[in-house]
Amino acid sequence: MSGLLFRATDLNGLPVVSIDSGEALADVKDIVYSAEKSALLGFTLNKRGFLAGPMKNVLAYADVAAIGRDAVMVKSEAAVTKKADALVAVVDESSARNVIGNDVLTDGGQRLGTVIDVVIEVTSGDIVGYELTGDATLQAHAGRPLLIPIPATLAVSGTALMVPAGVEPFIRDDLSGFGAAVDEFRAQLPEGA
Amino acid sequence: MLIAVILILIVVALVAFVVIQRRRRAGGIIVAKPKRGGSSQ
Repeated sequence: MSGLLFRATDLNGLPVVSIDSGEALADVKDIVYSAEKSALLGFTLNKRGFLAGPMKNVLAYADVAAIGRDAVMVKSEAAVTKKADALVAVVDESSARNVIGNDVLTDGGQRLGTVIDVVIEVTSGDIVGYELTGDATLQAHAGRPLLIPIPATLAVSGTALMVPAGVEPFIRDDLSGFGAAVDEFRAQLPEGA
Repeated sequence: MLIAVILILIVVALVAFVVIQRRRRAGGIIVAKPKRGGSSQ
């Protein structure tokens, strides 16, 4: 996995900038993803300005030209003004489903911890892992969060996220090297997992 | 009387400002509801 890995919360509040005009069009509010596909779907947006509120329009990941450390780039203003009906429907029915604070369980019944962040490979839009606080016995260094890789498809059950029991050897506490851990983890999963 | 009205207006403006800022900053990570099968979260 050679792409750039970001924590989803690093994207909260980033400006959405048009490449055509160089203008900042909005700020990122929520990150929306599919756990089934482990893929980033898009963003909800805030208007820019001191007293401005949320925007009705959303930004689909398909309309994003690039995601960088300081801005989300789109080709033109049309990316945030056009109607992305499919994503709007997803946001409407899922707006209360914030993943932060959800438990992560293995399919062997072990609770690994509580989600504090999601790791995104921004060039492909893949969701590659979760950042957790929790089981101290899994921590290589005391007090550090746990980065756990997830399969390309993931079951969601109740208020818990399910991961395979074999994830433990691939847990890391730093984003550097986490991409390789994700690759190794996914390579040893059975086909179709 | 005028001072009381001005104070009330200031308080209302402050409350509105705090509410707007909270709404703006309430960003999160939303997981989409599964299309079929599975269960709701």
